[in-house]
Amino acid sequence: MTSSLHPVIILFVGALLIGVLRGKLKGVASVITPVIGLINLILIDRSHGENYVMTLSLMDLQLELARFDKLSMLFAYLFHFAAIITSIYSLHVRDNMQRFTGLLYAGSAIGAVLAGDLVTLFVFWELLAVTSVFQIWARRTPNSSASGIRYLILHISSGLLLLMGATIIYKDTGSLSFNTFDLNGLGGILIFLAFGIKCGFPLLHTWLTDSYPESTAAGAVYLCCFTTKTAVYAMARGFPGAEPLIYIGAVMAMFPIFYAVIENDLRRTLAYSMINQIGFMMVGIGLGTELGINGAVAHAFNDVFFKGLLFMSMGAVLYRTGTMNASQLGGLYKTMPWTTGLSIVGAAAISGFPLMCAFVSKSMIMVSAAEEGRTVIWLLLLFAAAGVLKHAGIKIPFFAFFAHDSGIRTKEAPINMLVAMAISASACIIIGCFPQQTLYSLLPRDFDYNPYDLTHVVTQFQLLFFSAAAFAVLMLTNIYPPELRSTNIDFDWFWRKGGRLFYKGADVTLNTTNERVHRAFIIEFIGWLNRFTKAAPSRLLVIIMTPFWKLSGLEGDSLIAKQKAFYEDSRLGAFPIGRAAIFAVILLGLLYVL
Amino acid sequence: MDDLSELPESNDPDREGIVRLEDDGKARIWDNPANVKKLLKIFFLLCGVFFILDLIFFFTHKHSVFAFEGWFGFFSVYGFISCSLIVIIAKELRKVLMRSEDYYDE
Repeated sequence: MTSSLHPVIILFVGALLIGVLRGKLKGVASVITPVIGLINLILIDRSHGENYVMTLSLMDLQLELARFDKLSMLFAYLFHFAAIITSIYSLHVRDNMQRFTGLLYAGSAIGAVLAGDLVTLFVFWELLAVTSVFQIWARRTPNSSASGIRYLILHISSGLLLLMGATIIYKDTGSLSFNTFDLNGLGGILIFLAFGIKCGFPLLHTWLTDSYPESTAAGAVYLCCFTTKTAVYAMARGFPGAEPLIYIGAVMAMFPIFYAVIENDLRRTLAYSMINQIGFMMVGIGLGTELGINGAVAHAFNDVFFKGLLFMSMGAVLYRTGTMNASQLGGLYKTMPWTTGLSIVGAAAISGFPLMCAFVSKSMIMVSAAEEGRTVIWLLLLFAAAGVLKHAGIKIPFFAFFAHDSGIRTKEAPINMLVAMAISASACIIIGCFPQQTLYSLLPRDFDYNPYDLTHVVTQFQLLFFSAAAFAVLMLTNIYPPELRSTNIDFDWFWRKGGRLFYKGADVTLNTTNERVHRAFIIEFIGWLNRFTKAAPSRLLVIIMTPFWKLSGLEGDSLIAKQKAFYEDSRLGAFPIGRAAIFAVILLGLLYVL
Repeated sequence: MDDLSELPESNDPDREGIVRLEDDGKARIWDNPANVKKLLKIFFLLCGVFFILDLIFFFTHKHSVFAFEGWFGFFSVYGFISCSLIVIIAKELRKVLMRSEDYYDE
């Protein structure tokens, strides 16, 4: 069997079906759709092989609606898996809007990674922004509405930057194909920034930590699977080997760790952890070596499973307890044992324990940094790897399910959530145990690397156990900071508080200026102008007439009296006819001369 | 609605969404401090084992790119120091960064 059907069509049609179907059929459709999509993708893969392109001629433009090569295929597969898992996880959701946009969102992400030209990419890039925001708005709280707007502003800006960059590149090169760009021209820089916003570059990262905690239980899982991974794909496609990415990635891997330690909201902690993980991927892409690129792509692939699993377990906690604050949770292992166990698998996977998926992908990035002789970067990444264990590996399961007993007794997560989590957990373990047969065979570049070497396994255990030991010691000695209900200010302060300050500042300065200007111009100047236009001709006449009066012998008081009388006459326009006639003659003379 | 958070909490175990049940009074495994102590003991013992495991690299080659990776106990010490530093620095950062929970709502 062969297929030439664009994968996006299946997901979009499935989304429309959800709008039409009723009751349980909706849930069935939302799971079946990505499964059919996956079968279609396998058929395309089998029947056309590598480097198959679906084109469309639109006026003069030759669009590559879908390009299937190893890199895009890997992400297309990944997003189909992710769509299946998220659909199962959100089976309990009754909100039509969220389900409908959920499939559109997955479809847009698949469309974006398959796009072979910048126009197609732009269309799906914007669709991705618009369809994803509903995962935040579906929470239907004032906070989520505001957060969604902030999210949309950054993501639409990203799309506009992409469009600007694409236009410039088209003008310069005459080509719209989506391949590698360089950072020497403005076009390339704009596209780099567009991808950077979605990747969560430092200072542009705030949408991540702002919106994930405000979205619904299932919404955060959707967000974590698609948007940032699409951006990582775009970066790997467009800017492999871009030097700045190494430094940007190192900063991204470092700074969120500190925030994650003191953050009370566990899903915000995971959002910081997400930036940290993308930091690793950016370093891999920036290094540009075969192993580095493969490592970045492999880590993005694994991230969907382990980070998705952690978000799903926290979503289950939110769904059952209604809170995400570490300070209010604890002791949930008593009533949610399955969720606890699955969450621990995710935590072990993200920390990079041997036989878990991050172990086989994060180490590829680390080794390629070492092989390139980047000592400082390597030491920073190792520091960050220890930090991952601390804030994601220990903090998430420990404060939610163990720590002090909050007294909350609830119910195990719904079966659909448990099934979705179990699928992700199995993926984490299978990829970790059999990387050669699974993930490594999908990777885009040829490489030779074996993660299971004695040195690597032993040193990784040492790193992880001693990081955990540090946590245990700090807990036992009460040095570890307690979880507190709080907000930690981040860069979004500048547009949340700063925005309000700006508004107030603008209010004060602009309104005061307005008032001053009003008084100066409208009241004082106009009044003066009014008086001036009334009095000036009379004054002028007096000034003109005075020498004549002086010649005719008037002096002192009589001169002043004469001036005053004349001024009054001229102001009121009460001239004798003779005088008026003289002025008229003078005026006509003047006109004639001029 | 996804979270059903607009519905009142319920004591009904068959309900969807937020469920709050009574404590059944049974003591669970970590309620017993002796079990916690046992776990910690095993954990620290494992730490010791992994530290000493570095000795095997006197007999086999330790694959390393940098020379310092080969130092005895490098990864153990680095992990311990990193994690401690992260927590201590973060704790200090709280003094600068921490605001009340409704900071942005004011």
